[in-house]
Amino acid sequence: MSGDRRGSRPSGPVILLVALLVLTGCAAPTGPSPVTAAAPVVLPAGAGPAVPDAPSSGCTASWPPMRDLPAPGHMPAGYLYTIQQRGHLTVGVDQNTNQWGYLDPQGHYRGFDIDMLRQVAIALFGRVTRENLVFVVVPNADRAAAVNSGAVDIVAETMTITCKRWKDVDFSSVYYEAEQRVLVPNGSTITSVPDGLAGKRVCAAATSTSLARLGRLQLSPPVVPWQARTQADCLVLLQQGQVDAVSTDDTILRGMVAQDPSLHIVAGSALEPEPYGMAISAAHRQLTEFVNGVLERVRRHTWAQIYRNNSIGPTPPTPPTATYRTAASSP
Amino acid sequence: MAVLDHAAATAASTTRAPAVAPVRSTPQSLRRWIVTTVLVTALVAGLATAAMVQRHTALDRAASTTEPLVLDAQTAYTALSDADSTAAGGLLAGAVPPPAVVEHYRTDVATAAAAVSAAQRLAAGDDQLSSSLGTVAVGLPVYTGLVERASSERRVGHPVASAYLGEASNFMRTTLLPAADAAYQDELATLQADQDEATRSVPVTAALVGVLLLLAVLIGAQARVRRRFRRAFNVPLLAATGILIAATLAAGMTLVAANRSVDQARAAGSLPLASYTEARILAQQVRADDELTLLYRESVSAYQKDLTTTLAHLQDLVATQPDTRVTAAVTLLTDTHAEIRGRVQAFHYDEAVTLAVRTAGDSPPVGLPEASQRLDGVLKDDVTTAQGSFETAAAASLDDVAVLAWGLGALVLLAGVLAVVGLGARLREYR
Repeated sequence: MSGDRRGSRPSGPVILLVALLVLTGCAAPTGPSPVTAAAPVVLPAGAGPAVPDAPSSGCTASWPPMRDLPAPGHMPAGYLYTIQQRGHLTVGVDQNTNQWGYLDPQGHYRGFDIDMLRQVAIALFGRVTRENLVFVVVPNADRAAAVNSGAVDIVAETMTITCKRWKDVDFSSVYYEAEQRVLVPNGSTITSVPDGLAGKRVCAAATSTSLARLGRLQLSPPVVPWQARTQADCLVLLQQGQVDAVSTDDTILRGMVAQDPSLHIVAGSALEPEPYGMAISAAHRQLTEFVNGVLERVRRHTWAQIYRNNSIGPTPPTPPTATYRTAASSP
Repeated sequence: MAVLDHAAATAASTTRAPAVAPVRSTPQSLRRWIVTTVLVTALVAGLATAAMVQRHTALDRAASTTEPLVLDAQTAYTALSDADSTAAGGLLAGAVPPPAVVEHYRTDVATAAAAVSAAQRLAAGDDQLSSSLGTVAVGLPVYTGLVERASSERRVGHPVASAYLGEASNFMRTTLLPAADAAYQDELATLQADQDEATRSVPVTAALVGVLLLLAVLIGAQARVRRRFRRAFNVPLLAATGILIAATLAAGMTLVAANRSVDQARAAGSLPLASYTEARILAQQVRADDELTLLYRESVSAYQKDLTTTLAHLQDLVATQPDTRVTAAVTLLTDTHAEIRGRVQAFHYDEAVTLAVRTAGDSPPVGLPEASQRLDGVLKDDVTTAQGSFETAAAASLDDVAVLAWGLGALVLLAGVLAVVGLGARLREYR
């Protein structure tokens, strides 16, 4: 499908060019012709124009928080007790995303996501040690699988809460409100969003919420969405001039600007909110309720401090508001 | 032309002669025998020479053009595939890849470029082959550019480095390797065709029938002379017959030997060469896939899907050429891969990476580079052995047939001349 799109577009100019060549070929005297070769088309695997999925945002309401959090080390019966007896909480994180989940030069996991998980571990065990908080690096594509297989108890990895993903896993309440924004090269003609994107090739990671959002933009001429397997592949395409812009969470885009100062994030309003939640297996609702209780406390006390510690921005905004579903309502 | 027609008519009438005209004068009969001998000799010498020269040409082409092209294409193909896995290993090893890995990669690229350029010189006139080689020649600098970009991004700690390497590897796998493979398969097919042509039996059978016909003519002439002149032997005729029989036997034996050499070149040379080369490529892909999986951790499944089929294919291939060293090395690579896979699936990336970059000389377990190089080493040995067998066998068959190419025709001519001399001596007795 993607091949058709790319194939059909240049047909007009190609026909003209062929006609021109035929005409000049007839007129020109025959002789040795110079060697010509077209530069090969080089793309990351799986990259190309995309047909985005249907939208699936919303569904940020989580299970109601545990009303009175048990004291550390005194977990009630259920999965929480299992974790306490086991002696450690296993968490899935990223190690490549600056400010969110990364390994510092000393080999410690750092970032906003990591700090949120540390808060959960403190509530469980009273303090965090190397032994009671076990980090496991989980690829983005495997986030839901890692939780459901039991490989990890919680995943906190810049994961946007969506209705579709609620079908696979349960989410905590929102712990950070990211925004979908647009990254362009300095000097780009795209100066406003979304109008500036009309007719432009914009790359987003396949199956991402950002790609779905691009597909819903009503512009004339329409946006040409491109997909790549990873956001890094999108950055490659942007640096090579094969796309005009990259669109994803502002949190990720800031990491890209850090790698290439000749790029900037287009100012102005965001395309869409990207609410981050922690993914937990639907089988462990007690853990979700516990985490939501912890997050209630974090919002009141340490959220702004964590925001500042990780240099997310100059001044901490109001922490995102948590919404909860009633026990009877379905996701 | 007229003379020839007349001669042909005469020859034709000769064969019917006993039935149509039982009584004829001796000189006339002798003349007819002479003409028949001359014609059949010319025909048989031509047939034999054509058959032998055609064989020789096919063998010569196989040895001087096709086989070097097969080797060049195979060298380019293997070096490109090796560069792919070496580049990934270098990036995985750290911000600055080990000097030995950098050197290995550079040697691979230089080898591939040299092999392609050598092949291009030999491929002149073969459009399909030239086009495949051209794709590699044009794409190679694009590939190395992407790898250099990946390594410079890696050096300054930018995660986008993996994406550049992924793009380079994708280009390698979807464009360069298929083109190199196409060139290699093309030439293997041509080599097969050359070998088929060198062992084709129809021209040789035709030449043999011709020789038997000539023999029949000579024996017929001998019988005629004996009956007419009551002489037991005509020495030149006898010599001609002897030469012809000896030449036929010698040629037959030489051809059997040459055919055996060609079969040997195929069975011990080009067939295992193709299998081992393919196995090398697959083994290198197994390594590159594991490395890319670790580099590109956001999409694990894509490379691992390739890998399962690749490993299965490799094991099938190895089963067709039983060799305990190869089997052991494949088992080691498969086990190492499984170890890495197990750690990846348990999300223990650090341990998986350690295993994937662990170099030779470290304590067990064996790392991915060592496991892959061990297999590559034994396969490379087997490729060299197969190549040696091919060259020895091909050279032997070429030498054999080279003697026959003009020799057989010349001997047939000599026999014909002797026969004519012998018959001519009898004819002169009438003057």
